[in-house]
Amino acid sequence: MGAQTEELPSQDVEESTSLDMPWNVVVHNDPVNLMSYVTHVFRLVFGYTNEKARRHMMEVHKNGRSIVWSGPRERAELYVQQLHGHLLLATIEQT
Amino acid sequence: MTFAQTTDGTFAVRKIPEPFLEMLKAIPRWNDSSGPEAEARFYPPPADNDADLLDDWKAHVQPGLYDIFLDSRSTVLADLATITGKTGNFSLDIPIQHAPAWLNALNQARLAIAATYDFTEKELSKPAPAKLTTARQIARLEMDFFAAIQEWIIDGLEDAPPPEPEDPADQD
Repeated sequence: MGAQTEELPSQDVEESTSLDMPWNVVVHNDPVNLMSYVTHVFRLVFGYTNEKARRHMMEVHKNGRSIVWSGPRERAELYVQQLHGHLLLATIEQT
Repeated sequence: MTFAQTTDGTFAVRKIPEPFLEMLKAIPRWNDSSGPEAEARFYPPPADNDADLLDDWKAHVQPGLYDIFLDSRSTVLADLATITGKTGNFSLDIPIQHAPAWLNALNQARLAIAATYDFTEKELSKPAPAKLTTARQIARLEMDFFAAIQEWIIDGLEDAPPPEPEDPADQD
């Protein structure tokens, strides 16, 4: 009994740490979307400067993907929803 | 054909020849009557290997996305209905408030065309063919035409004050 009560909190701590891990919003390359359009959407959705938006766009273009935002899961899902509304290929993934 | 922005921000297309007028009129059709490939591209999965999230997304998020696309299409249809002029000299006005809807609808149309004709990245990196004898070649030109309008609208919006970021909570 004593051993069991010692193990359970340890599992709880692990789970809590996992839930607290930030989630990434990832945008994937799509040959159809214009570079200027992708930059425009990043500015619109995240309020990024033109320079930062362009940097992420170039990362998508060259590397096939870019982590454009990290944070709580709920907000990450909302950002992906917005990006899908602008027809970008976006997913969430846990860090 | 000429492209100019008026002092109140309206995007004014003038001297539109008939073939390009037909392409403009086709935008809502591309938004509406796409095949399953285009539909899949309009509604991509929000994550890899997360069946629960995907189910949730289909049930709760996709209807909202559908409404966004429908609104854009309706706005574009309404603007197309105001086209004036005669053969070889048609005019289209896009109010600046309608610019986001046009960007959305044009992008959707280009994605639908690319999916329908299965254009490769290599094909898309080259300009449209000068010779237009097949539906595929015309579709490729249509993509470039829509891209040019997108670029023009984005340029016009960039000259405006920086946009306020969208509030993701608004889409709940």
